[in-house]
Order: sequence, then C-alpha cells, then structure tokens
Amino acid sequence: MSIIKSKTLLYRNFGDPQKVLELTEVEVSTTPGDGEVLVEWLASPINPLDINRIMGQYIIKGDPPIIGGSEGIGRVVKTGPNSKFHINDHVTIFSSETPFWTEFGIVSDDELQKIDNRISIDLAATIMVNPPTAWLMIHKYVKLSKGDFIIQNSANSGVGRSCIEIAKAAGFKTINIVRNRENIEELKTELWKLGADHVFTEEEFAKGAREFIKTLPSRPKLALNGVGGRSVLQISSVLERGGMCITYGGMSKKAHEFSTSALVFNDITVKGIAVGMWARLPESQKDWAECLEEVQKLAVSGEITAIPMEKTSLDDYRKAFGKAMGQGRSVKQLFVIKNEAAGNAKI
Amino acid sequence: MFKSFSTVTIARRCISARQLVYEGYGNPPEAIQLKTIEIPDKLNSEQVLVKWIAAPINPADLNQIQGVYPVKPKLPAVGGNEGFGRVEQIGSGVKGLKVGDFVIPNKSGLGTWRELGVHGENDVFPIDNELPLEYAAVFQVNPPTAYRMLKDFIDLKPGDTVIQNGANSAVGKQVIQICRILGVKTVNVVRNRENLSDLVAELTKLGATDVITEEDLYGRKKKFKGVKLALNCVGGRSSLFLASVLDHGGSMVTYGGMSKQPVQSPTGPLIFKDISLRGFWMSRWYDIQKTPQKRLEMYSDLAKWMKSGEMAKQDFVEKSINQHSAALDEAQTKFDKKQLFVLG
Repeated sequence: MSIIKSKTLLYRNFGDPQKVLELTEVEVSTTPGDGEVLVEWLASPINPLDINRIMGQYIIKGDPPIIGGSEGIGRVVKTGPNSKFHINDHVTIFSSETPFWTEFGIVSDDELQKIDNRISIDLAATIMVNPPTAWLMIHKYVKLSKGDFIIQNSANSGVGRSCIEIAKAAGFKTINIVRNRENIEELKTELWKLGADHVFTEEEFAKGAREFIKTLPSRPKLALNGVGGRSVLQISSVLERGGMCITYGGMSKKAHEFSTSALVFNDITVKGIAVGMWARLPESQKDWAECLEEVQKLAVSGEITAIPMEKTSLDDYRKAFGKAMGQGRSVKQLFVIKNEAAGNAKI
Repeated sequence: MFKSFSTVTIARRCISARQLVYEGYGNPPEAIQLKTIEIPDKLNSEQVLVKWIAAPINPADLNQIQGVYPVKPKLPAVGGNEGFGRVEQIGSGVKGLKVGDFVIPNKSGLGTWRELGVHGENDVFPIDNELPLEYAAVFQVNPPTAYRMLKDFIDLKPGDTVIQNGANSAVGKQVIQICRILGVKTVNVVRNRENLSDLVAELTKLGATDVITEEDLYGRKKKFKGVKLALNCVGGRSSLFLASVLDHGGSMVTYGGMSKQPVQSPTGPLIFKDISLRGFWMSRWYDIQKTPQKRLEMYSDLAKWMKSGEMAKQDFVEKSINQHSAALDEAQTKFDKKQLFVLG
C-alpha cells in the first residue's frame, strides 16, 4: 500500500486561528478501499463557521487534531472496488465537519456528493449551502407567480446574492436592502447587474418604504432575513396579507422583531431554515435532491454565479485569516489547494 | 254632489329603543351618546328583531371608537361588537332562526350596545338557548379565541405543554380551563405583583399546571419540556423568552401586544428548532369560514363546558345603558374587571 504526503492545515487546540492553525503534512493511503475513492481537494473557502469552529465556539466541537474546512470541491483521482464514482468526477462532502484543507483524502461513497464538472471551481466550492438556502426559501415555502415580489435584507451576503439570481431566473422581482457604506453606489450597481430590481439602504427604506410599496402592483409575499433586529421588522411589516418571512441568519446578533399587527391582522407566518440540519432529515430527501439538481442546472447555465472571493493558498493561511477576521468588510478568502489545470504529478 | 274622502293614515306603529351611538371618532366616554330611536315593528322578510340582553365593553370596542381599529364601521355607528340577545320577531322569509333563540353578532361591527335592533337574519348567529347571561354575553370573542388557538396551530395531545404570557387576561383564563379539560398542561406567565399568591391560587384553581412570574421566565429558574405551543399577548422580551422555550417544531401564536413592543424571537429556535411564529385574530377567523360547520362544533363544545361548570363564569361590573360614560371611563382605567351593559 503506497502512501502520499498531503499538505494539511490543522489545529491541535481551540483558539485564535492565526495561532492554533498549523501547516503540516499528513500521510494518506493511495489505495481506496471497497466503496471508497481517493479525492484530491481543489478549493475550499474560509467561512465564518470555520472561524467559530477553530475558536471552539461551535455547537459541535470535535476532538483535535482537526483538519479545517466546512465546504469545498475536489476531484476523484482513484476509485476503490465497487465505487460508483469515476476518475475526474467533481465531488464534495455535505457536512460542516469535513477535512477540506488538505491535498488528499480517502472518502467513502456514502459521504460524497457529485457536482457537475461544468461548474467553475469557485462556484462549486461554495455551492452546497448558500445557493440551496436561497433556492429552498424561494421555491418551497410560498407559491409565487411570475412578477411577484420578494423582499430581503443582507442582500449583499452570499445567500442574498444567490436569492437575487435565483429569483430572477424564476421571474420573481426582488427588493433588496443593504447596510449603508462608503461605496454604496458601486454595491448597488453590482447587485443590479446580478438582477436585483430595487436596492435600498436600510435608511432609505425606513424613510421611503411606505411610498415605495404603494407604487408596486402587489406587496411582497416573501421576506428573507439574514439580519434580525429592526431590519427584519422593516421587511416583514410590508408583506402582503398571508405572507411569509423566512430567517436564515442573525448577523446583527439581535433578537428578530416582528410587528404585532403584521402577525395578528395581516396573518403573516414567520419561519426559519438551517439547510445543514434540514437536509439531513429523512423527510427532506426528495426536496433536497430536487434542490441540488436545480441549483446545479442554474450554475451550469450561468444564472447563478460565484460570489466575489479572493484566491489564496494553504501556505498563505495566516494572511488569509488575517483578512477573513479583519475589521471592516473584506472579501471572502478561498483556498485554492490544487490548480486543476496543472495536473497531478504526485500519483 | 258630495264626495266623501276617506282619510287614510299610514299608521305605522313604532317602538322606541335606546342605543349608544358615536358619530365621530374620539375619546369613548365623550364620543358615545345615548340616543333614542324609533324602530318600525314591521320586518322585511329576511329580518329579525333582536332584544339585546347584555353586551360587554372590550378593548377592541374602545379602539374602534378611537378610530384606531382595523375594522371601521360606517358612521354614525352603534358601539359594541359582542353581546347576546333574544329573537323577538322574525320576517316571513327567515328560516334559520325562530322567536326565542339566543343570538350573538355574526361578525364584529354590528353594534350591540342597544336595547333593540332590526338585523338581517345573517347578521346574527344562534347560540345555546340555555346559556346563563354571564356566559352568553361574552361568548363570541374570548372563549373562541382560546379554543381556536389551541386547535388550529398545533395538534395538541394530552400531556403536551402550552406556555402563555398574559395568563391572567380573560383569554388567558379560558386557555387554562380548556387545556385542563383537554388534558394539556399549562405554564402561565404573569407579571409580579403584591398579591401574587392570590393570583397564583386563582389560576391554579382554574387548572393552571404552573404559574410563574416574568422574572422566573427570564431567569430560566425552571426548565419546561415538551412545550409545543406558546400563546403571546404581550410581545417584547416576554415573547422572546416564550419563543426560546419552544420544543422542536413548536409554534408561538400572537393575539395581542400589551407591551406595545414588537414580537421577538431569538435566531437559534427559528433556524435550528424549526419553530414558527403566527398570529391569530378572531374576527378574521369568523370572516373566512365558508360553512358554519366549525363554528357550530366549537360553540357546542364551549356551551357544553360552560353549562357543566367546567368553565367558570367571568366576573363583571354590571352597568345600565344610562351609566355609559362611567362604564366607558372605567373600561379605560380599571382593567381588573370587565364592564358589562345589562340592556334588558
């Protein structure tokens, strides 16, 4: 049985990622067993979740040493007996505790999800959480017709951008709320280019919402919330009677607020979604399979695109974490672990 | 030739009746006026003459007179949305009602603070004829609100737990009693007060499983398991903690906002425990019923529990129609007991 050295970013203690992370090498067998494959990891982002996990602040802690990563894309380089995968298949693992920040790994078929090879590596590395969250919220809660309005806060986030694209692909209109910032006009233009119909800062919307909503042919039926606090009060209060507000995050770390009269007199429903938990329930399997198929179709057709990310390498992890954890807004960091075009000399 | 003319007097007999009317929105004790009107005793074929017996003053009535309630009757309007009366006469085409039936308004906005009313057959709805006045006068809103919130959102099983704030409100007390009858446990949150032990004793007697103060709730002094349903009429911090004790898949139903603060929920239960937040408004429920089936079933359950004494009578301060301005004033300032007009 031959062994290869796999460059790996791992941590042996919980704490500040820049201090506890360690770039090292682990040994990986190049002989996958029955129903297993050898995967070469291509790319994996640094998500906020990764930082929480490394700091020991996530619900599931795990036992160090732990190889980092929560999302990513790889390529099958060797298949074991009876594996259903083929060499060069693009694959990912749908789990928040998965060792992506390493060059190679042996993974069993059961854990792997095939991803269409035509999808760019950037998008494929971030396709299992944000776009499905957006797709499910838009397609599985409220029956919308073409031309119906969706309102969302956090429109600039990964999920927010996916919502803009997925709504546009389905013929729904989006009203997008973002926080004010220096380059606000640039951001608005960027979101318009993605397909946003209306973009407002929180302050603009607070001032002009009433008048603006009156100009619409119908009020929004769906509100999508990644922020909480007053921001969700703002978007849920303009919903159509019987409308739905779905929460997928609470970035403001404030309690989610809803107006009593929207609930009582306007009959809105408030729900939440955590795709990582939902997708593992037996009763979700049919919808989850449909969601992954539809999201990949949209990715292949170019109707959903990768969010802006800065490419980096495992070697530069300190710098990458410095940016990922830095003050102010920084672009998401993506570890490019292997440049696929370069081929593989090691095996 | 002498022509004699027979003089035909259209002698339509009329009955005079008093009613409490508002012609414009304003502060209820001033906006409401006592008026005497003449009611023709000849009915159209689809009409009924109802002698109103008793009608309460509810917060919604006051809001309506202030002009801040979503249902706005055409002015001038007779005040009052709840109450009961007895059918005195029926028009020739009336099929669903007979003389002697007890009736309540079919929906809000009818105007119940009056001695007599001529109403369309479909503007009133029959209830059990043997209900004592104290039950019949407040049959339409609070007991059905409690009943529907316990039936329509979560399929409650005996042994499940419901948590509610404002447990001491009229709806809160109905919730306690219906849960007791259904074998469902209740955790009842009340505001701390001087005579807390009296209140705890009162609610326990009605069937409350637990009575805790808001401070107990915020301090998480006690853990509650299997909480499927939370009923919120307060909002703000109280609703935040109610939402946070819900079990996986549970629901918080809001039916009021006494604190005037928005309803709140933490992120965790929303996204990881799949809870949902809903609202309930009794008037809308009545409006959207396409058949009377569910309403009849509910009224039959409630009347049965009331007549058997399983549900207790509410306490009132009884007032005559002449005492309207004192009654309306007290309704706005004294919240411990409901004001009830006894009309006939």
